[in-house]
Amino acid sequence: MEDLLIVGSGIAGLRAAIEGSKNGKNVLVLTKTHPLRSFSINIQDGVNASIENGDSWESHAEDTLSSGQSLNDKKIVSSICQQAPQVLEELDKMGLPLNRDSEGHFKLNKLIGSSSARAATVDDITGHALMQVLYEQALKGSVKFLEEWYATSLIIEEGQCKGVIGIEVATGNLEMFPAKSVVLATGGIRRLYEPSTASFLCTSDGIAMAYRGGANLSDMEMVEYHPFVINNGPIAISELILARGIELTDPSGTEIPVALDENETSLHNLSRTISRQIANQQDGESHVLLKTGLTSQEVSANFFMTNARLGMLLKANLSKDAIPVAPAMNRILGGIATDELGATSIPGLYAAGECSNSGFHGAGSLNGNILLYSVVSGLRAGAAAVAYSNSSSISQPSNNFLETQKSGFATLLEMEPKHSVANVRSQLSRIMNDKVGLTRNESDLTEAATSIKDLKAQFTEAGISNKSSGYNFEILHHHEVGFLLDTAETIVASATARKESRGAHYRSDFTEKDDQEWSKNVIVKHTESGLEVSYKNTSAG
Amino acid sequence: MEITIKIPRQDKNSAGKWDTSLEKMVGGTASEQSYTLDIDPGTSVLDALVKIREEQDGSLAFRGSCRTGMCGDCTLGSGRDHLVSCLTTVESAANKEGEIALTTMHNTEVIKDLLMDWNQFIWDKYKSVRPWIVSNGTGQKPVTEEALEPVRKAMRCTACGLCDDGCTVIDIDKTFLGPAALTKLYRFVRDPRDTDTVQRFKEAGERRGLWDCVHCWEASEHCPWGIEPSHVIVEMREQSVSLGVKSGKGNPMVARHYDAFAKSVRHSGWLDERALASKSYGLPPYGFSPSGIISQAPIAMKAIRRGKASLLPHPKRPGQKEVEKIFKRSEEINEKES
Repeated sequence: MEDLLIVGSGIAGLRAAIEGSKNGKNVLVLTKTHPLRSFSINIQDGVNASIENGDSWESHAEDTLSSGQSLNDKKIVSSICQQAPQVLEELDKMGLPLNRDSEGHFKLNKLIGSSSARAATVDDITGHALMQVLYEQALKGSVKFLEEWYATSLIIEEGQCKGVIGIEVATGNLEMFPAKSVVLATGGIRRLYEPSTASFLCTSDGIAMAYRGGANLSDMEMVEYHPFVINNGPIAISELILARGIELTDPSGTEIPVALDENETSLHNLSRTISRQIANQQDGESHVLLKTGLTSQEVSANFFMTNARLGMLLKANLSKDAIPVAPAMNRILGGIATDELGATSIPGLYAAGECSNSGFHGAGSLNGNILLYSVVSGLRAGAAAVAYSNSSSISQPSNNFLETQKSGFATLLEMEPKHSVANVRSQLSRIMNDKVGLTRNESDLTEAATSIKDLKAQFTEAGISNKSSGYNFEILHHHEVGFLLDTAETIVASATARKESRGAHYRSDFTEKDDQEWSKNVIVKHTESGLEVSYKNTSAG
Repeated sequence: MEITIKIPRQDKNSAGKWDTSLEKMVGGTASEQSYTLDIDPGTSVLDALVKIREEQDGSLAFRGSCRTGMCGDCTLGSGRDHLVSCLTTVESAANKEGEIALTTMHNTEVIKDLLMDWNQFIWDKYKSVRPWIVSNGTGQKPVTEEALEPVRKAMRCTACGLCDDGCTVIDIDKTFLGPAALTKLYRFVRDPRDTDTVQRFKEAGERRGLWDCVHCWEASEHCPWGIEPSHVIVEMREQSVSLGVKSGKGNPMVARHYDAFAKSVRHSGWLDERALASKSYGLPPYGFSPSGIISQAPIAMKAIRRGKASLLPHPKRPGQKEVEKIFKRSEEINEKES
């Protein structure tokens, strides 16, 4: 039996794994891909920490709350902002080659929404470098990796989480992985929306597994769009480039005013402005044009080397060309509800990174806080899982779980498919984007809920045409689409519940923010009678 | 735009497989399958493959993850060329007939269809260079922006495998560490915080590693991120020699060859071919490799016959003193820099 079983090998999962191995624990990481192919590798932004003269953790916390429109948990915001400088020091020790100023101190960038220069970077590859460093530390710490294994469900018995069931891509074998503690770090939901800044692998696995297991999810209505995604995705203009200023025009060259200095809410509003602009464009062009504020020297300098290369491959010169961009879904801020340490509502189950929500981001994420949250939440969930695995006496889970799954898969393979799974997903992602996207309202949400019910019905009859057992990507995709359908329901329910507009969540039928009524978080939970919505007053800290 | 994508249907247990040198399927009843689809010319090759798998053939096997060029998972072969399939549009990949022929990369073991064994190809080698920082806390040099620049450059590597696939040494020797893993090694030996440089160079010299590159420059040609792995290898050899670590068991003659070449030019003003051969291949006191020496004998005979080498003592050239000065000057500069 493993001490810590970690599902997912992005930044949060690897950081949790390192915490386990540091404490002498048996750590196993189950991942759909190779760790260095995880989605975290393409986050460019930077890591916020208040170390600049004149900056303070209080000021970092204030900016975070302002971006989050006070839907954040203040206690957690304070504690993470306080911990940030220490996290940066630790990453430096692990070998992260952070940019320096002429005196050898970390060189910081002022990103949109921050009152000070606060984001430490490794050029324009911060997430990429961070992933390498964490993977290196995990290898050094003898963390075990099972690559190309999909987790299919949690084992919840006697009210606690006792492990995970997984399927091996190479063979199609299902196996049970008993564990004293489980950390979910499966990332986001990008595949649920089209267009999006999507990786194929971001299919809300952890969120759906936790939901099915009875864990609380919170703030699921908070789905953030990126205003500037190139050619309908998936590559977005990075926060580092935005921070240097941009110019925006419609396809005919008329300027669109941009005020990006305030906070994240300005980005949300801008997404909606651009989206309306595109909808009204006479010539049917589905984009606007963006010019970066980068000079040709900046583009050819080391700092933006990866962006410049990407530009070359996309046949765009970042300092000269107008780049066609449009808003697209970028990330979910809600997720599996956790406390400050990453504990979910199920004993033995922890969550970290994008699939989790401790209340740090609230209704909008501050630029530079995403990587910070991934590292800190991973570290904390890892530490909490270590403590739990020390104290708890956990019995071996019964074999029923595995048998049930196996017979489910066997039935699936025998079935003659009446619908295509891929078709279900593509309809789903269109509905989510059109009805549960940037702008929502009661009738759209009701329509979406009905459509999702229909798709779920289709899904039960959508079998698998490929009957082979090894490298059967159809069966894996079937699994993912099942997760996406459940997650979609939780988003629609949460968005329907929140009858106001705040941060990433905008209702055209309730356009104002309503602090009186809505200083509370929407919690959804799966019960025997179906999806249950409840509310929790946002912690004043 | 109508596109036809041709893919060899194969797996590691099937009799028939794609032959990279013949560029066709060989053996068994194996077949190359064509899929035709009508898509936007700007669609990426990877998205086109997903479309095929979702709409035409659920059994097609290939990998892909981030779709933004950063994860390196979706690299494929195409004819004699390679492509990062998420960053290549079908329009640019297709030939005049609108056809795209896809295979796994050439230097890899096939698992199924377009799936290759990344562990054998990249990851096992990557893990073998002890890829984590070793630091006793003091560091070797001050940690400055400039000192970290090469480290960051190497970390732009996405392990897409294009360099290893272009590598002419891996072509003939799959055990060669290869440019990708050597770039990983470079990330540590150039890090001012790492304190294990000498040991790392020793290890890299004891295997088919640092000293087996033949400088064909294919790796630098292929790298989509401008990392220039070929240059990285040259830089590391210089650093290794400057730290007194010459090539070990991996390829014992290379560092001796460098050394003998330089010494000969320095002391006589021009190259002494005989000394170069004997010192490189190892005559006492430089090491000893009878088979190496014997292998050179026919070449030596030919060279003597054609007047390219002589049995007489190697004379100094008149400009030798000037050459010596150049050596001294370069030593001074090196000392100053370190």
